[in-house]
Amino acid sequence: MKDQQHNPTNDSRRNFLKQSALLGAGVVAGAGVLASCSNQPAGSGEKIKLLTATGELVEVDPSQIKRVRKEKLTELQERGREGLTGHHWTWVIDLAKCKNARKCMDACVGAHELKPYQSHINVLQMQDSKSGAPYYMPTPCFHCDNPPCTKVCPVNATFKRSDGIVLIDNLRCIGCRFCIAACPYSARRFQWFEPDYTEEQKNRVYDVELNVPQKKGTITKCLMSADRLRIGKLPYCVSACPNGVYWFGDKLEDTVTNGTTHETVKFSELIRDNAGYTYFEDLGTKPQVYYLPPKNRTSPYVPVDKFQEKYEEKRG
Amino acid sequence: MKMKRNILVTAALGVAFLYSGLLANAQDFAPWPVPDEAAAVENPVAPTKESLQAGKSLFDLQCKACHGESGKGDGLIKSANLTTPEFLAQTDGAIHYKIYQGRGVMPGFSTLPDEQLWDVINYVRSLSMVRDSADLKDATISLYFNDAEGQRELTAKVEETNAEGEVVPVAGMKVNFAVQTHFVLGQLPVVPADHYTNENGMVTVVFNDTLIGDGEGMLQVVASIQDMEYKPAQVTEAVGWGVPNPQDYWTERRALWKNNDYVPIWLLISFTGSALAIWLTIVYVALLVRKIKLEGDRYENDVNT
Amino acid sequence: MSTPVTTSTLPQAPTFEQVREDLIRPLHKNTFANKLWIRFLIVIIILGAIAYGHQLIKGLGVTDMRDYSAWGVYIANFVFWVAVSLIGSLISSILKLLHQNWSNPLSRIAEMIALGAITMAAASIVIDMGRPDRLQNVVLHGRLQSPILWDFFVVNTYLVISIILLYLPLIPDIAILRDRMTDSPPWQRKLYKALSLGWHGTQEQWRLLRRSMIVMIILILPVAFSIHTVTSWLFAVNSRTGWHSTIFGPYFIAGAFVAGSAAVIIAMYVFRKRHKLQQYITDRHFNMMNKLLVLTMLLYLYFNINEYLVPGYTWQRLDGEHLRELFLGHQAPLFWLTQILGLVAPIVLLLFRRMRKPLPSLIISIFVLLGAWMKRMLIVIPTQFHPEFPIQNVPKHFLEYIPTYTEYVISAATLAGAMLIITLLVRVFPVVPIWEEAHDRGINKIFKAEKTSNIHENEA
Repeated sequence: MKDQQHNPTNDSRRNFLKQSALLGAGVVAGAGVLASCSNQPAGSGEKIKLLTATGELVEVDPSQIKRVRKEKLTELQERGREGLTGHHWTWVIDLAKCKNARKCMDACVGAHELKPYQSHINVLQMQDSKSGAPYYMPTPCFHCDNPPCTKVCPVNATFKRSDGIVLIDNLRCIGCRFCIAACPYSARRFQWFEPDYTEEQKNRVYDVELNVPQKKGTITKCLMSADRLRIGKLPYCVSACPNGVYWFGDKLEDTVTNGTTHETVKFSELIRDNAGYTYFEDLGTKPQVYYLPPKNRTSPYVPVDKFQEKYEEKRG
Repeated sequence: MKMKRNILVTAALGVAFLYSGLLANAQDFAPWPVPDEAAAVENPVAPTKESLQAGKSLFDLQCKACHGESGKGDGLIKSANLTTPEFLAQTDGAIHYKIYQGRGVMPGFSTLPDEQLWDVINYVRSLSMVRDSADLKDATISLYFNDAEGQRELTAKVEETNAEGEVVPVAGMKVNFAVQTHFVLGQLPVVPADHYTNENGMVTVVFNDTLIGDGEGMLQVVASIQDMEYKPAQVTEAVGWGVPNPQDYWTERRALWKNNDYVPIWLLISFTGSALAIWLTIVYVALLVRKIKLEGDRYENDVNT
Repeated sequence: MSTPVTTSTLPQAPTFEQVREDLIRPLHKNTFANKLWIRFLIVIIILGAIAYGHQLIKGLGVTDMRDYSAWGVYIANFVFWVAVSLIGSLISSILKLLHQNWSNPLSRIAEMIALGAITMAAASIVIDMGRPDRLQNVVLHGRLQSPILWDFFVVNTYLVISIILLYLPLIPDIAILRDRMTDSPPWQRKLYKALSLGWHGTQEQWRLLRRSMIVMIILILPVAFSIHTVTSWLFAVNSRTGWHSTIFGPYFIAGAFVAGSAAVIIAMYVFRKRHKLQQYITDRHFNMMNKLLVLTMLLYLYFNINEYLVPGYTWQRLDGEHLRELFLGHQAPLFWLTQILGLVAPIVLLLFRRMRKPLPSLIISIFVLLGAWMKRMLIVIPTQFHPEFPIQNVPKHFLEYIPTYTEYVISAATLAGAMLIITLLVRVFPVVPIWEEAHDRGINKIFKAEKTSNIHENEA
């Protein structure tokens, strides 16, 4: 899910070689790019040589160029910490539909450049009691309204913002791992080693809403794909599910949209009509992810290995 | 000589290409035998426009995810191509059997009403007859609001330009009325049943739902058309028929989980209070110790004089 | 202060000079053994530094900590060192306030141990951080609501207070050293002169010293209790089985006194032997310290019983899994070994007078101290393997925690660090307070530089 974008330079009268070097090296987060229109005056006569994403060299009139401004770190940090005020994101997970396809985990791992066993959303095989029915349960971070993790962070690296999302700022995190100890839902992971692609992406501007690339010695967790929400798209995992498991929406608007079918319904009606609930309410964490019980399953439960080969990694 | 060889090579490559293209389209799933009695069942539902519309609704909901919008099997999960001659050669009854039973990753939809399954089959057959974008007709849709005598009504008007260049209404067109959410793909339907334009190309529905709008209660109402013979079209208009969004989620209340600007008062007072008390005491002791030094210096001076 | 302690171990009433020489003599010794010991410690510390460098480069993954054992040996070390450091407050403060004057010779040992321990506690925490290069964030962006910030504050405050409480009673002794040890190297003489603050035992100086000591002795109590209570809250504020207990604060403090007392007994034995201080650290002192150790261990045993019986009785789902693992399962050998060899057996043994003699109590205290460290491992690690949601879809080795060589080497380096600090302190300062010792023996003499002939009365 890495977007490669063509990034025209600001000064269009630079040397072509310099341009192509700059263009080739840029890997800009697709979601973090704002398009600001400041067109050059037409008819100046001079054409600009540009390298397209497919490797062609073209000459373009300056008036046709739309400037794409690369965000500064401070801007990204500010808006990332502020949030999309006026919304209250919520998630409904329909356990009757989950068939353990794990496309959600794949999408998450791809979007955030994680190792396979570090997926922020984890599909668990659950059985609440010996005679109870087994079922698959995807567990992302619950973005609690009384989050135990943000309470204990000593440096305000993990925080809950105005739209309810609990983020992690990997430029601030000191790696004390208190939040891992505090979270009762095992929602957080730690980068014990240098993550992949660090060297290739070391010039990438850090976006706290996407957290790519991962940083050694810091925490990583589900961000509710805050970068996608900002541009009106559903989260990576929600969009990748082929079985209609995820509904995602805004509690303040009282709507949720299904990631597979894009059907939109009222959140309150969905919960009411399907007996929605949250996990471990008695812990007082006020989780904001709801579940619909696995009744009238669309397919039977088939157990799989809880520690599959693809998650295996050598010790040390 | 060279030219002849070039032609042969090109022809060979062309044949190989065509063949591989055919292969790509061929079913690479295991054969799925259907019992004769099931295959012999006839489709009781005629492929009318209504049936196709209903089938499309169900298809979009249940089948599109895997089989793709065009039914070619290119959805989120690799699945069967429903537009190939081999697939279409089956009887409706056979297709019905497969949808009902399911196999492996394909679920069985035995819990759905039978009529819906036949509608879907009609629609699926129509997929292979989908025309190119260029063949579809253009229609425009416009949206009007009427709020009179306490009754709120939405009216949509669908028109097209006919061969003579006149703008004429389009009758019998299914119109969807929805409200746009934050998500581009998320449109909340505002009226449940299906609504079709009358001979004047207009359709009116009563709006009596309590929907939450933005801070001022404005709703973005979207009216859209979807028809086999027309290009998709929609129009969005704002109207103040929504309940104002409460915007009461984020409060300025102090909490343990927030940052330093929101420290609970009891914690602020006890922490800074004890910190001050302890460190002021340490400073006091340091001053006492400093006095010891001063006293020592004084004593040494006394002794030396 | 109070009535002098009579001692029957000296053949005749000793003079001040005798006491002084006995306690200063060890400072002259810079024997080969001493040098070798210091070099040995430095070698271990260097090995630890290399291991830490390896950890900095590769990441914390060089330990066996993973997502379900995110806190491991380093945090256990931290808790252990904080626990040991509380002994300074126990002996210098609590026992003094209770007029337990037999403990006076031991207060400096206790403070030195406390200083070494609290320094290593701070080191252990920095070693455990994933991004130590961002340590300043705790100061710049510290959140008042976080227990780690409270811990940061109290640990640093306690470090300062320990230094002060080591230094204050040391001032008169430094003055003696300043005047007596004229043949020591120049740096040492300069050190004594500077640190003695022009101490000449005047009435005014004694008054100031006594006041500052009383203030510090009282101040250290709430700080010492805070430091270990806040450390216990690092665990107790999390909704996890084995951690979410209301008695974690007192539990940890009781355990701290156990560990600290054992550490002091070991130090007592070592210094008594090496510095030939049998007259000053007597069998009676061992007797009393061991009784104190038994008392604290009984208290700790009481808390242990509470900690295990209450969840054991209800047997909630996760409590049950956790307890089963401790009592019967994976951790059972370690658990029972720790409890029996580190707690129950020492209690039973130390009830006998013969076991409270120096050599037996050294051996018992070593077991107690080892048991204390092991106990902290058992508190920190098993709980993390019993989260609410089942552990799935991770590498199989995430299900267990076996510390790596890196962790052991670094832990050994912190132990060496603490011992180095104590060794260096003992090298430069007398391990038993000279003036206090003389005073307790009823030797009423002010200790001043011989170059003056004025003799002032000592305040009684």
